[in-house]
Amino acid sequence: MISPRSLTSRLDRLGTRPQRLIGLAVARIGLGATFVLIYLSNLQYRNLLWGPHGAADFDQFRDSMNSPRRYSLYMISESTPWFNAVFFTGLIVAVLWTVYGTRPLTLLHAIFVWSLYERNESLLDGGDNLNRILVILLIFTTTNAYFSPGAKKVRARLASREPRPRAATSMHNVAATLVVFQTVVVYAVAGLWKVVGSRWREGNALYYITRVDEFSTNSVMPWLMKDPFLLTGATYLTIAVQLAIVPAALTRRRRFREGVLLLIVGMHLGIMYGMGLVSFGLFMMAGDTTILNDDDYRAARRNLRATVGRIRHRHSRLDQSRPHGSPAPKPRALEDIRT
Amino acid sequence: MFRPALRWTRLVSLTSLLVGVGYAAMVLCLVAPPSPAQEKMASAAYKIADPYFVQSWQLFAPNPPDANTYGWYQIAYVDASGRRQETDPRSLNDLFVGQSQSQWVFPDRVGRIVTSLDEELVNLQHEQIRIDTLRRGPAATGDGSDPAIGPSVSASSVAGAQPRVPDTEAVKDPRALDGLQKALDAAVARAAVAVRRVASPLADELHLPGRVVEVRIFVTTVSITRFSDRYRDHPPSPKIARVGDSHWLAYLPKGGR
Repeated sequence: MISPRSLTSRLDRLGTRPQRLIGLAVARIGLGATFVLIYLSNLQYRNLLWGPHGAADFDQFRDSMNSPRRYSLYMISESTPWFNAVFFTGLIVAVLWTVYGTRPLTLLHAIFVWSLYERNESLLDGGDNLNRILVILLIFTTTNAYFSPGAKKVRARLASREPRPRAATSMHNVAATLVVFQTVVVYAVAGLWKVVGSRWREGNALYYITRVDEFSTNSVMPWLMKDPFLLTGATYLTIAVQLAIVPAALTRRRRFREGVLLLIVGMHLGIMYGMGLVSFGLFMMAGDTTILNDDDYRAARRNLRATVGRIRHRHSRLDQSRPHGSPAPKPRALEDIRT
Repeated sequence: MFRPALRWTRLVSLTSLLVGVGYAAMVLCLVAPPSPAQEKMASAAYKIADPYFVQSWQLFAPNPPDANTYGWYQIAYVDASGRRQETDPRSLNDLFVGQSQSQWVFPDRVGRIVTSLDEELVNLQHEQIRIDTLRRGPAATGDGSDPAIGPSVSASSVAGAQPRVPDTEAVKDPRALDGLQKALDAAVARAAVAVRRVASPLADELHLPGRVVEVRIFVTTVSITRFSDRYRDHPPSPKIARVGDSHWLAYLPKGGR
């Protein structure tokens, strides 16, 4: 049983320091850029896909919007100029959100994302499903503390505040946790469903998937999946990676989390290349970036810098030991000359 | 500067936390393995989740498709002598899906129009068979799937389709069956609009020697060679089945509704 004092101290802790600011900023860029690409890649087919006289009948669409809690900006008018106005405004908002990521822009972007998705639901895949959930959760978070033009200012404001609980920070932290939870649920559910499937258990599911014409963009994957060892290994690895996301999100072991995330990114790159599900892969990877916490990102950055430093150091030593008559070394940087 | 009292901040924190826990509980109810308890909880959770937080994450599970699905369109026209003619079936997949796949760096969504229409027609046919079976009563057996190929998991199962709420009461109550049939008829009417909108412009492009009167889209499945047969010189012939059909529908002239 939690005592009242313990409960209040936990609540205060929840609202004191915003979590996962880096991961959410990376997710914002991933989700936003992918949505911009959806707008751009379908620009010339926009009327067929979402237009008032396109494949999805407008009257039926308007009827479906009559049910409670459904909305779409596209339902306001059947005219083509209105459709184009909403479409291109949505594109501009998506670009602005990807770059700036302020909270009002997040809300605006969520409205346009939902409007487009509702206009023709038959075009959506699992990646879109995740995107439209995450974009709502992101309304309650701060996504512009990193990788945006105003990021330094946002971080300075957060740092200058006296350390006391704030309602906005509580909401941010709860929403950030839900973003991670939602992403983990996607993989855990997909992994558990695979465990009960006979073809996944037999280790030949990827053979069948790579032979579905809809998802066969090249002949490399079907050829690779003919080999029983590669096929079984890849099939079981898919299940293992999807299930490993749960302990990866919960553990304190950073290396394990990073390892699982790298494997998932590899899996999505394979899906994007082998099956042509590019937006699906990008949306999923954007969600995955929230699984790493801020300390993970900082540690990864430190490690990367150290590795780059080691490589540079090794190169400079090689240059010094170069024999006479070899090509002259490149001019050194001003800082190096001063030292 | 206005500073809310600490107790209000704590109240907001507590509310946020409770909403978060509620969200997590709702999601877990929706994605839990099917069981009598889950069915009851999921229908309640679905009312809250729909439309904003619908969960569908099977992603090629429990089993990937064992057949390829192909859409075909046919056009009927009246020639100069007044006789009705029908074109040979032409592939929709080559037109739409092939085009999307040709730009794999970032494919467009045009191919999805066909794959979702295929899926819709297959589902409608399955649903009609299911209702007919239920009408025949408990003696009728079978799951309503096409006997030639079995209940295929659609190739588009990766799509985030909304889960259908099971209607077990329909077997006992004829009025419930009528309700199912009514819902199905409405879905058929919706699919018919989509079929006319997709197939009619294709009829225009063919420049047929006569007046186009009707269009039709049907769906076939071709089974994938089994893994164990992949190296056989003469693997068993693939099973081919017609699994969905819009039947003939009136042609929609350009600009018509």
